[in-house]
Amino acid sequence: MASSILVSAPIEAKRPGWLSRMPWTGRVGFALLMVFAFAALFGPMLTPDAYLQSLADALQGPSSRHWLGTDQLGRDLLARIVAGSRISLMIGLSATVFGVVIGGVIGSLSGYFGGLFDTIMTRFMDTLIVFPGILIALMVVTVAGEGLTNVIIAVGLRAVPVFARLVHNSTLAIREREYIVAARAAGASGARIIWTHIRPALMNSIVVLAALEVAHSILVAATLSFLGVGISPETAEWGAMLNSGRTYIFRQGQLVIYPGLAIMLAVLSINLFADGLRTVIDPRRSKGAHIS
Amino acid sequence: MQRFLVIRFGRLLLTLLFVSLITFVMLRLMPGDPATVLAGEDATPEVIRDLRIKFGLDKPIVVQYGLYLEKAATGDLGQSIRSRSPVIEEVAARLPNTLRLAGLAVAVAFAIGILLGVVAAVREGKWQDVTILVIAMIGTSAPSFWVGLLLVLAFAVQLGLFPVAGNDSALSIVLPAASLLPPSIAVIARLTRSTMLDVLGEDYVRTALAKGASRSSVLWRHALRNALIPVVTMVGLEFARLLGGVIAVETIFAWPGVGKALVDSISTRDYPMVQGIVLAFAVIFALTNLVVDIVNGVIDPRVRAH
Repeated sequence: MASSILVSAPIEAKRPGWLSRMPWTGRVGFALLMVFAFAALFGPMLTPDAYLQSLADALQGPSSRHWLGTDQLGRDLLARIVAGSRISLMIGLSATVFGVVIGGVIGSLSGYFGGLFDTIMTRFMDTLIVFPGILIALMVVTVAGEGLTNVIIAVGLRAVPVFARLVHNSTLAIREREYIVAARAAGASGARIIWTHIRPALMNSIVVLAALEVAHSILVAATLSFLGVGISPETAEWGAMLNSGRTYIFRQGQLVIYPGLAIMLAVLSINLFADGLRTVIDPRRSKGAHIS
Repeated sequence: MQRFLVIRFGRLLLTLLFVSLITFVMLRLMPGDPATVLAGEDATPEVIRDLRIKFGLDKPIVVQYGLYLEKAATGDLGQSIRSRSPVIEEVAARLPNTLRLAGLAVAVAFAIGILLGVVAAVREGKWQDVTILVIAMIGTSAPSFWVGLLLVLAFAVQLGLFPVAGNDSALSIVLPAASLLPPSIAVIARLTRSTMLDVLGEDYVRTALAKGASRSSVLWRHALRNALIPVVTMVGLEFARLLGGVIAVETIFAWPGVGKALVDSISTRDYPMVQGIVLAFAVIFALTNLVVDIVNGVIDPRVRAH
């Protein structure tokens, strides 16, 4: 007994952490993501006020006072970009959680119980999934009205069919496994089986998909506010900043360069990290990991 | 095959029914009574009441949906609040511009994407492969409206090579089409790379090489043909995805398509137009899916069995 512990301990110690098992691209993504997370949490304390207007300083180029210059109202561009990371990450995360929860409930119920509910839901989800996310989000905001919560719901709804389909298909695949049948025979209710026996088996694939969906949600949310829909144009949000900077493209090009660069880097970091995560969680599938 | 076609066509109709139901309910959920909106700011209650009767808004909602379906089936989608002309005409006038833009982007994206994918597969693990994969990763992460703005900045503002907006010259389509490209090129290049790698490991490729066929002939004639089968089935899906990107890109370039019209109609609360454009999008997506399914069924008999 004691010897087996001694033997197994070094092996356990050698087993590297999940971060070092990632390909270098995943680690780069993780590092970049941490920069954005830091900016989202502490950035606004370190930069000038993102909403402080100073018309005398409007539309300036980069200087030692304003590292990336100022916008049409004299607000510091860097401060606004830093403030924007908080909004974008928050929308990305909340919308994905919304998609996971609603999609997970629909997918597991329809996959486990089958029947008419399953048929209708599957057809419905198949219809929704072919629509580009931005179209769904536009429709929802049009109906529900402006505001941060509505934007989160609108962007999250787009992710619902994505998760519903994943959970539905995986639930179907394991529904007749012996341990599920055994649980059913022991008298466990459907809800209990889904939560305690099926859910853990799906967590890995949900986590990887969720990471990718955070990136996708940030893109859709930025597109919404770029179109001037959902979030107030005054907000320091990357898409909204690009939209207002568009007017001054002839005078200050950096107003349309840097906020977009922030979107691209944030989405890139999450995509790289998600790709790396997939390699760690499911090494067998990672050979074809570059198709998504 | 016939049964397969019938089922898929039935699904298409079901999809359209779903979308029409969603857009109908959506319109009824809108704040404000459609008749009041139609009548304008200072209409008398009598005018509003007449309009309610004229458009059947006084009837139960299920009957209204039935009437709406009946009209929609004959191509009557109501009239635009802003321009007062039939929605179907407004959509029909703009749709060709959008299809032209997305079609050009799809064609160019496949040409470039396949080329990059083949190069990456042949040079697997070398710097060319890594570079292409990194560029592909960046391409999927860059929002197309930002790419559009950068292109405007570089080619229209700085160099003055292309028009900033509109559709007045033959060159007008270049920048909007180019801004749609990066994500599609990235997806196609990655897919081509991975199917190409699979095919290059097949026995018949080794056999062809052993028989003395030249490397380039094996690559382009034997391997690529087979590797392209899964790629070709992506055409429809990519086209549908590009139509999503078109909404923001058309807005930047003031391209006279349905995407820009959708954004304009949302901001002016022209709900019948919104409804008509969403339906038009749905028809295109459903048709694209149908074509993709049929092509898949023709290429791969196993698909038909499902």
